Amino acid sequence: MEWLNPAGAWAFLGLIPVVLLYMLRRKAKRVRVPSLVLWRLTQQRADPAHPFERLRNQLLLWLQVALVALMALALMRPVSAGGERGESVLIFDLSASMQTRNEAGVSRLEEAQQAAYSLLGGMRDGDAVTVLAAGSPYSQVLSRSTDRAAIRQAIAGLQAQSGGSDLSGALALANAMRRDIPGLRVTVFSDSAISDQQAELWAVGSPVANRSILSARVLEQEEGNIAFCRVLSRGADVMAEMECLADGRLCDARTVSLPDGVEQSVSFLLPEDVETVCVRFSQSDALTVDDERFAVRERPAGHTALLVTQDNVFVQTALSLRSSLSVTAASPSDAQASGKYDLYVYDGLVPDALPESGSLMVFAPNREVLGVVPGPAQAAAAFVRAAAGSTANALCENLDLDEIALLSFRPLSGGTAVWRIGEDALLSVTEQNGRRAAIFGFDVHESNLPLKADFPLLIQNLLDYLLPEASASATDAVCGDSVDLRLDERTLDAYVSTPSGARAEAPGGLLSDTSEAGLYTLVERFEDGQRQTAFALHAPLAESDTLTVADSTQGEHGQGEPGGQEWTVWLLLLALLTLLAEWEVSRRGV
Amino acid sequence: MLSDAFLNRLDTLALHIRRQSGAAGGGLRRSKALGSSVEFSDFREYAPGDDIRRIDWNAYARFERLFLKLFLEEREVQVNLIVDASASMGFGSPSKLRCASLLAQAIGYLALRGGDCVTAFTLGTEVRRTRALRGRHCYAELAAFLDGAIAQGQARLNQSVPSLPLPNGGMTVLVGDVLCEDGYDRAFHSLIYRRQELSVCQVLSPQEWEPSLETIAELEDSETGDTFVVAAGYDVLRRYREAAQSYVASLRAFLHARGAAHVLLLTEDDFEKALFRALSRSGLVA
Repeated sequence: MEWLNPAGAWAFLGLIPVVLLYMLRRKAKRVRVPSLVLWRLTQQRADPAHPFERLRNQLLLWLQVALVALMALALMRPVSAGGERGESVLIFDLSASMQTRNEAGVSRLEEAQQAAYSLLGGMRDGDAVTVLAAGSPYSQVLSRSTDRAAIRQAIAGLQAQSGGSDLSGALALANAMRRDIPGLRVTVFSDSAISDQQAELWAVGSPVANRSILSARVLEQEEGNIAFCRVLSRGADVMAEMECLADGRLCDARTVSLPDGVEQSVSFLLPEDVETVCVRFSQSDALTVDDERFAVRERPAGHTALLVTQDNVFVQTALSLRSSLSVTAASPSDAQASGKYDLYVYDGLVPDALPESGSLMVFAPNREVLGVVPGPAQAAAAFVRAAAGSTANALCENLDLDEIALLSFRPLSGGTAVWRIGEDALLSVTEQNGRRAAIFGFDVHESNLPLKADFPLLIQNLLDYLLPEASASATDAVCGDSVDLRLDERTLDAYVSTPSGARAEAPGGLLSDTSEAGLYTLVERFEDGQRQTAFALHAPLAESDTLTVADSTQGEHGQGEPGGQEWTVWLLLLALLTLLAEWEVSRRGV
Repeated sequence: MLSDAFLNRLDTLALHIRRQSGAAGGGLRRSKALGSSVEFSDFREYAPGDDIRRIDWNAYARFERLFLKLFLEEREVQVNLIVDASASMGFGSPSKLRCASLLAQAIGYLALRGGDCVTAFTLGTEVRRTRALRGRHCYAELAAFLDGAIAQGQARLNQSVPSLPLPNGGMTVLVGDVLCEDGYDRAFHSLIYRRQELSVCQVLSPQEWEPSLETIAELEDSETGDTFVVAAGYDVLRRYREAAQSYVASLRAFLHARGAAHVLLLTEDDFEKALFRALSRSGLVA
């Protein structure tokens, strides 16, 4: 016999007041009667020779003692032997979406914590529990502990972060533990689905409407600076009040109509000398982490680009949108005679000898470029879609690929796919010896891409990749991921001031403490002074989708069911019978 | 003291005594002794020394032999009223002692009015008694004596009753709850042994007959101070009622087996009505 809740033994202390009350009751009621003759005769009529007469006189006491004892035993939740001692791994999704609160104001993480407590209640005393926090990256909070208080404390100390969740990493660790621990139960508390079939998903949260600011940028235009942002409402048509702060001061406000599921562009007028911008909703909603977004005015160093094309106006126009980029157009015949550039853009033809330095952007290459090899041309028979991976996600940000059509393409092999058509890579990027290249496997003239508004956005995203700036330009970096700050060569030492004002070290220019969303400041110290550069980190866009909630799954093991037979229900029934007997005895008297 | 109206109602009744009187004093009761009353008893032949005034001359004329006419002697009856005035008689509303006192007064009144001699006793902390009362005018003294009784002490019938100074013969009416720890048989045997026409009026309060305890209680005997713990419930109360009925039934059987009368009287608000009912049922009045 084992006990699922040994702490229930404290209920045995309830015997003390029962006995005390019984003694007090027996002393309290003294009644003076004319004579005891008839009462003694009454006792004699109650079978005075009965051997248990004395016990019968105290029957009420014994019944009440039995009632308390049964209730205490039921609280201790006895389990008969037979079940094997269990061990569990509890994985908590600490992504930004777990901050989403329901109508009652309870966050998904709090729901997960309550669910974990109930799961703990179903475990037997002595079951070991490991707690993994699947933030970005995941971490092990508690390892194989049998101390219930420590387990509860570890769970209570979890806090949702502003980044994504490394559930796959945590599950990989749990699976590694499973190899050493037979019968290990793995339970994931999350609002998103998991692919591990052996783990149980305890889904938390319910679909709720949410507004989010997808992106924000500071654009310098002839008529003045503007803050350009894209916002989206999921689950409801709303009128949202938005405000814009320039360097911490309110500079503009708008009321925006946000139809359900339709991205909207909103712009705010900015002062001329603005450096940082904060765009936010005036009123918070279910998920607050995406109600605010920062943007830093880019002051990039100038770059040069050589565009080798035969009158590809679309590409030239798209490149010229970046003011810091000086574009020189050349015909294929003049390309070899050109000088040194930061970026070479080849539209169709690739010279026999590639430049020794500089990044490459190649449209429909006829040969291998930095390891990316085009295949034979074939007709496009499928839709264009974004490839998986963080690089592809960053390059496809704010792009709508649904309506892109093309006649033919050459599937690319090698590099990292950004766009795919079917299973073939249509657009790939690669990096070799510090040089970066973006390869289009199709001719933009044979597609409707140049006619779409997404084309200049794509070019700008590719330019961000091909011409990386210092961290100040990393406006759309994601919380939780390490950020390469690309320190200046003159930097003697550097640190980062986080949004909460804390100081974070960035050894080697790599900032790993990126759990907060907001505006960071990189402070670089040189021999002749120091430089401060602001950059923003935000929650991943996928975290803003609060409408999609996974369903719970059941793995090989039942949720919190002990292996042996639990006797709690039978004890409660016995206690009920005792209560009825006590009532009957009280009614009959002794 | 009984009210005048009640006494007027008692005037229509007379104390019924089954046995003929054996007392020495003259009275209104027919006795076994032959005397000078108007009630004819028998004839016997004249013997020298007899009162020649009682010779029946008509019989001499017819039989030429001398016969004497014998008449019954009318004598008084000694009526003893024993009232239990122990502490247990202080319970009830009105108290059992009050009811016992009024019942004894009523019987005493009937006896005094019938020319009998009445002596009253109270059994409590000490035994109190009146002088031998005769005549209707002594009712006030009897009433004052009984009204002055206080319920206190312990009445142990088996000890106190045999020691009472009672003459042989007569009538004894014992009024009390007859709830004695040591029993009652010795007391009643002593009375019967002294040729007393015994009547026992058992007075109980309704609370004694059907108690209404609701919870566990520690009962304390008003006379002995003994305690008894009981957890009241309908089963216990049912057993109590059975025990009470059994006790009264055994007392009645004991008395009837010895030619004594028994009547049970419960103290009630309308006591005079209950008193009349008890007197008529007991056979004490006619």
